Amino acid sequence: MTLNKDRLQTYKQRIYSLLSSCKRYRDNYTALLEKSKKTEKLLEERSRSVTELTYKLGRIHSELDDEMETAKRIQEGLMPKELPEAVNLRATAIYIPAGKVGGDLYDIIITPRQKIAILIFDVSGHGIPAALITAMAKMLFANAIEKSDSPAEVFREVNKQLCNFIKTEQYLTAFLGVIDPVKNMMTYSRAGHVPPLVFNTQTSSVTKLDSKGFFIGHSALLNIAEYWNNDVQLAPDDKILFYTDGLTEGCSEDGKLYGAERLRDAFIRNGSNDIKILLDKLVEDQESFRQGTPLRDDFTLLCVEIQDSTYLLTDSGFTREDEPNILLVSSLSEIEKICSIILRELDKCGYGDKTIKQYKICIFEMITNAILHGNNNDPSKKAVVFYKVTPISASMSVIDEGDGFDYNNLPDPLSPENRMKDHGRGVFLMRHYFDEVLFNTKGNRILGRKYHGGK
Amino acid sequence: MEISCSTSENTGYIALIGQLWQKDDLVAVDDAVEKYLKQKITNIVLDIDRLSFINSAGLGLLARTHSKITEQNGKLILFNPHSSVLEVMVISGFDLFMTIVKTQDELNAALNK
Repeated sequence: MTLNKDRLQTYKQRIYSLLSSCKRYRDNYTALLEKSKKTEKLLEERSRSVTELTYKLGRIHSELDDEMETAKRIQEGLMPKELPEAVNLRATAIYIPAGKVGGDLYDIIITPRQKIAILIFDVSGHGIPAALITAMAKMLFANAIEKSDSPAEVFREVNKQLCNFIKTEQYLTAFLGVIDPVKNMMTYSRAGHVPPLVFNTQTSSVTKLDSKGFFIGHSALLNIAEYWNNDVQLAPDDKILFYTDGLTEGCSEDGKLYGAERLRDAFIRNGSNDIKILLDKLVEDQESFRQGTPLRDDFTLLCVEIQDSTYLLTDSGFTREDEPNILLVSSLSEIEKICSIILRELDKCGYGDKTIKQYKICIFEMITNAILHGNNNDPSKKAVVFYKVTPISASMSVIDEGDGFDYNNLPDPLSPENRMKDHGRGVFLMRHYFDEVLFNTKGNRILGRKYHGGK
Repeated sequence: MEISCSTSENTGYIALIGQLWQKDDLVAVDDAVEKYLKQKITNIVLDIDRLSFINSAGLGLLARTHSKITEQNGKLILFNPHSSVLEVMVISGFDLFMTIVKTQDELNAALNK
């Protein structure tokens, strides 16, 4: 069989065409293979990047978590570990966090004028920004309270400072009450904070400590914010409940607010309990209302119970009209602090350097006797110091928890048989330097008085 | 309170700087005196020029120290007390039985130099 030339040509062309197609396919395949390899490599790289990124994100998340945990610990450290002991009140507090870091804070400070300052505040927002402002505000409040016993003045000062520091939209609400422990009078100011409630044990009634006052720390308030002082006379056994609005803003499952009225009712129902039990019951009441609905905000409850200081005053040698200042002392390490408080008053009233030095010896002798001999150096026992310094006289008395001593039969340290003894000069020195020294019948209270310019 | 000790010509010098009332300080002074007495140094000068405050516990220590040194036929000299410290010592009758000197010459005389 023979092929004609044309057909042969056609076959040739087809074979060339097929070969050409094969080559193209092969080239395409090679290109695809190359591309696939590249893609695979790229995928590998991307996958590696994603793994690295996930790891980095995990680390960042863990670092943030650690930082929040540290912030939480720092913030917890800002809350007072132990509330200071005061002559006429007991206090207890509960803080319920909603997240890791909140903006609530409370504090009880004995002021240099021996008043008892009770502070509660709530910074807007949560997290680290709120915690930073909380820390800053605590320091500013402590400094301002050191300088003034007027809550309104303290708020003005803290507002002025915070307005310059806070560059965000945050602010805080606060309530500050300053209690005079002798008069049981509380001067307070409210800076937009929820009003505390006072439970009267005699009548089982609750009154609200309402008053006007701006928020603190928002830059818009720098020149317009104003704060006012109000007074409330407290009675023995009164309980004052300070709180933050996270408590009343707790919601039930169907979105209803716990609210101030429910809190007030719960306070009336439980107000007769001991303050620790009372706070537990108030938290329980709110929790049973929420029925597991998560908290939207952290909250704080601080309860202060006023106690009767009249019995102390009766035995102090002072009268209520004298309006003496009161200090508590439980160890010799506190002597110098007490001394500087009282001697500062003598200095202000113009007593000379010599009298001040003599008075210092008397303060040391009175307190040393009370702590070492009256209280047997037992730190759980207190000595109560009353003092009143006027331009006419400087008086102080110290009552200890001991059984007293026979102050009428003290040996004379000047007699030859007593000269070498290492004790028995304290009362002798006080009798020399004071113009009057009086003991109570039991002998566990001494009162000394020095007249300006002599008796 | 700070305390510094030195010895010269068989006399112990103890300088007290600050306030003498705290238990630890009283013990430190007592220990310093005891150390000299163990070395048979029984003439002791308490340099109280910079002692700014003393209470009855501090006075009690001085009285006991005086008694201890006297028993060993030694001498305790209180040198240059601050006026307020001297006042308390005089009120307590220390000037009646203790040697209190104000100047270096008086001190030398008291030490029989």
